[in-house]
Amino acid sequence: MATVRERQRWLAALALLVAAPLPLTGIVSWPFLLPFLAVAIVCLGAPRALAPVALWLENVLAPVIVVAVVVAAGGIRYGMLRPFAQLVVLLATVRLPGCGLRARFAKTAAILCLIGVAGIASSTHPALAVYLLVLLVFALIAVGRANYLTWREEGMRVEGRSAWAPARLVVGTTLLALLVAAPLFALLPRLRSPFSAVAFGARGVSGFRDAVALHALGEIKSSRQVALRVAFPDSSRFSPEWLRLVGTTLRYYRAGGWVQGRLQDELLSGRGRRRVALVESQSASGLERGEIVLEKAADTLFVPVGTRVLEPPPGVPVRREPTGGLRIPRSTEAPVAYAVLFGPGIPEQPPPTAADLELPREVGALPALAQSVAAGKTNTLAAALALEEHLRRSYRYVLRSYAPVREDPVQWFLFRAREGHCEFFASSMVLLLRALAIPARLQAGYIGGEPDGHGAFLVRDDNAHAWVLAWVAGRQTVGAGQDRTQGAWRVFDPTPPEGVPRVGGGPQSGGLAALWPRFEAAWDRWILTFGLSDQAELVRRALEVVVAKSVVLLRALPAFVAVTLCFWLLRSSWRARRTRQRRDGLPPVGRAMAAVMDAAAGAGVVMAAGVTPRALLLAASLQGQPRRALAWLVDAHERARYAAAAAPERSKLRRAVRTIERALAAARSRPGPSATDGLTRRA
Amino acid sequence: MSAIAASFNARFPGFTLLPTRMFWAFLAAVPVLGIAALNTGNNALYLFLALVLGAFVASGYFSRHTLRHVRVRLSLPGEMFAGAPVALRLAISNESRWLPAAGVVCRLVGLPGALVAPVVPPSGTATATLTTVFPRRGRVSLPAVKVEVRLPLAFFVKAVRWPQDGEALVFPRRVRAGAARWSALRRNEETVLGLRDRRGAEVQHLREFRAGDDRRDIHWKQTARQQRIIVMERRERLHGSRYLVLDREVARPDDPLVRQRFDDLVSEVASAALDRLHRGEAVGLVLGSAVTPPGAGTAHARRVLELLALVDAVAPGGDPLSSVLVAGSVYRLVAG
Repeated sequence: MATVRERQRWLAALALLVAAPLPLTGIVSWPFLLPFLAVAIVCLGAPRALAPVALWLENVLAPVIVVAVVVAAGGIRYGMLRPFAQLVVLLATVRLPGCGLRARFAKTAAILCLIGVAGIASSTHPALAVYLLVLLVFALIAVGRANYLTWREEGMRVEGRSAWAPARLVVGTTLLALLVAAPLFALLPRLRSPFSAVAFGARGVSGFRDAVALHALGEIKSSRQVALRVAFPDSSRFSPEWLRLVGTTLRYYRAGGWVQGRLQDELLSGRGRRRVALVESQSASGLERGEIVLEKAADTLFVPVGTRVLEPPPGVPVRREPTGGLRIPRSTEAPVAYAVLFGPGIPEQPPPTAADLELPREVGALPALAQSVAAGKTNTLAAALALEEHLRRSYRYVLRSYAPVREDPVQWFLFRAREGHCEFFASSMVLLLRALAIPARLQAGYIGGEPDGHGAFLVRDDNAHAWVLAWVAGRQTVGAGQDRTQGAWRVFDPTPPEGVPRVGGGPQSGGLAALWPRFEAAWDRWILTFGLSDQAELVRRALEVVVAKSVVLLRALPAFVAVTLCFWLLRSSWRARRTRQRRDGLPPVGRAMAAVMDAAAGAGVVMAAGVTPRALLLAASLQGQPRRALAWLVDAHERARYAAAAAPERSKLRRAVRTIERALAAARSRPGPSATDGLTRRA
Repeated sequence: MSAIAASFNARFPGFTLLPTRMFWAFLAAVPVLGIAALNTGNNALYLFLALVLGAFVASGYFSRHTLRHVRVRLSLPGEMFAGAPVALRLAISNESRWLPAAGVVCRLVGLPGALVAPVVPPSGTATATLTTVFPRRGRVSLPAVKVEVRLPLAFFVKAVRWPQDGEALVFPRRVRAGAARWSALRRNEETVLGLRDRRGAEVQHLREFRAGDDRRDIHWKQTARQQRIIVMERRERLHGSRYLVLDREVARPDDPLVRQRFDDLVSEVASAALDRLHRGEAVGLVLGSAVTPPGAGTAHARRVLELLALVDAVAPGGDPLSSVLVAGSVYRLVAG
């Protein structure tokens, strides 16, 4: 029974370990995770082994779990990983009681491993490296213990008290595994499979989305995966607003989400064009240049607000949507590098149309709210600013919001929840503007980033953001509609400041505080964004080094061969000597003791057959350090020979033998009483 | 290639590799992980996959290292009876200088008995007692010891067989013996065999040493006290002339069933002899032409048991026993 309980505890500990990344990555919601954690803690702390859940109850729970995953957790709307993780978490919750039984142990462990894989697959934080190490160490200790339990259960006789994997074995295995894993990670092929999960409608839990659906996403999770790398060659005039990168502009609000509408793409660049003007009859003077690398596979080119000229990625066709979004084929392999020329802060959008004033059929109290907020504002700019300020001040920014399916999410946000994330804020402002007959659109993309220490900015998934474009002017009165003669597109960001990603501080110059950002940067560069191009680059550099150093290598070859041969010969001779010593049957400490006895005999002491090392110690009149060395050696010899203790280190043995031999030699050369007068002297 | 194989066999004699459930799980999981990583391009999965493969390699290396540096030596107890548990002494030494040998399982090849040494320190030796049972009497080669290692990650059970030099003599099985069937030799036969002129055991009196006296009869205490050599004059002990006689003749010595029955008979003789010897009675043994005179004590018991351990059945006419025996009971396998 103790064995069953111990197995249960190990699995419960594993459950808690695999659950560690789940709240951070967000692939399992709390209502699913909490029962799992509770059961794991109960299993860990229970004083006895828990009984398994009754079979009939398992059968009843099975459909409940499926329904919970499909209905409550949203099915595969957020990708395959999320429902999979929810499902296995619930399965594990049911399987954990009674998991100590041998028949259930392996299956429960397999389910927990699946949870672990799901957690790892959705992690992008550098702490993942530490987490993997902890997992490996845990596995080494647990497997050692599980083997011991199995032996005990099989009734095998286990000698000795220690039944844990030795620390040296655990550390050695971990280090060697890391050494092997590093080149393997670099060499494993980074090829895209045609059977991509995208075919099932899977999307990232966090990050940019080209169709904002307010119902679809309950919770936005911070993914630190690098999406873009942006550099501005002329960074002396850099403004954080330059890092507002547009991915898509949305005009149609349908059933709680924003969609593109009917797409009529225009092929902007074939495979041969080098520079494309996005806006007609505009000179390129006074524009800023931005160089962007798309680090993550995507079908959208992100460009700063006000982009007028595009230098498309070589060999990649680019299509332009009617609202200005730039699309590339989804199969394009990352990284994708391109450049833009842009006029900072001047949105380039087609003029407003009737679609930019569309409101949902059921607007409820939305116009009344818009009127009340904009009361007294005579022009559209003032009204828009008032709405922006109202939303920022009166609503709370949270990443977690579950809009009811049967309710309009914008009205739910404005009048009931009064909290939400950037998409809710932006969507609400667009509809409030439209209620005031001010044309407005929603834009989604990225904002902010952090310096990578090499003059560029890293834009991560958690820099994804949504904001508002409104057709306003200081002289335009509210209610003018889509008057093209007055007004211009202007960016508004109604999200409270805590919800707007910023430009980070970047790596610091020195000190311990600088280590983490550097590590984070290295993690992003060499782990998260490591891809096929990096592998090719590594191979190319290796070949370059070989070619460049070929003359040196050829010259060094004979020396290398000679050194190798010498090493091989020395190793062989050392092995042969070791084998001989092994055949002699004397352990190292025995050989050391024999050497001391020989030295004593050389000093004129007749060693009778019955003289033991202990007798030599008692009789020897050595003083000080030599005596202590002899006493230590005799003790070590006796412990190794009669108590099966580990032999002392060879260096210590050598030092002790040398000390004793010197003392014996000195005693022999000195007139007067010998060092070993207590024993019979040679005649 | 043969040199490489010979070298490998010298280091890993009788090497076997047995995959465990962990390995099959690993084999199933790695392609799935690989496809998942390839399909999604998720570098976290690539990292995990690389670490899993690295752990596999590291586990293989360390289990091989352990297996290569573990040596076992088997020591036997003084006496072993067939069918009875025997405690063998097993010395497991680890020749690695820095890595402890963990989870070493030692099994006797061809015999029951296994033990686990959880940890053997570097350059150290662990001694353990391994209980086994020898099924048959007779001279047997020492069983090889199979050393198994599966840690650190238990993907495989790797094993080598270390042969043990030497032989062991297994005494007949001990059974519950009934009344002993005693026989007696004819007096002239005893004389012919020189059984009556033996040195007696009872001390009659002490006297001074005379030329021709057996030096074994010197009484050393009295010699030291009296400062002259004193000897003990002994009186011949009257033996009961009680023998256990085993008739080796059987109808079909090659028949396994007959051999089994003969073994049972030998066990009965051995058990009867041991019972009497433990009570201090003198017991003699007649096996064919070999006559062991009655005697007592540990050495005599061992001699009797050795003879019985090695006795073989013979075909009819192969045993001259009948010419020596006087009337009495004989341990004989009844034909049929």
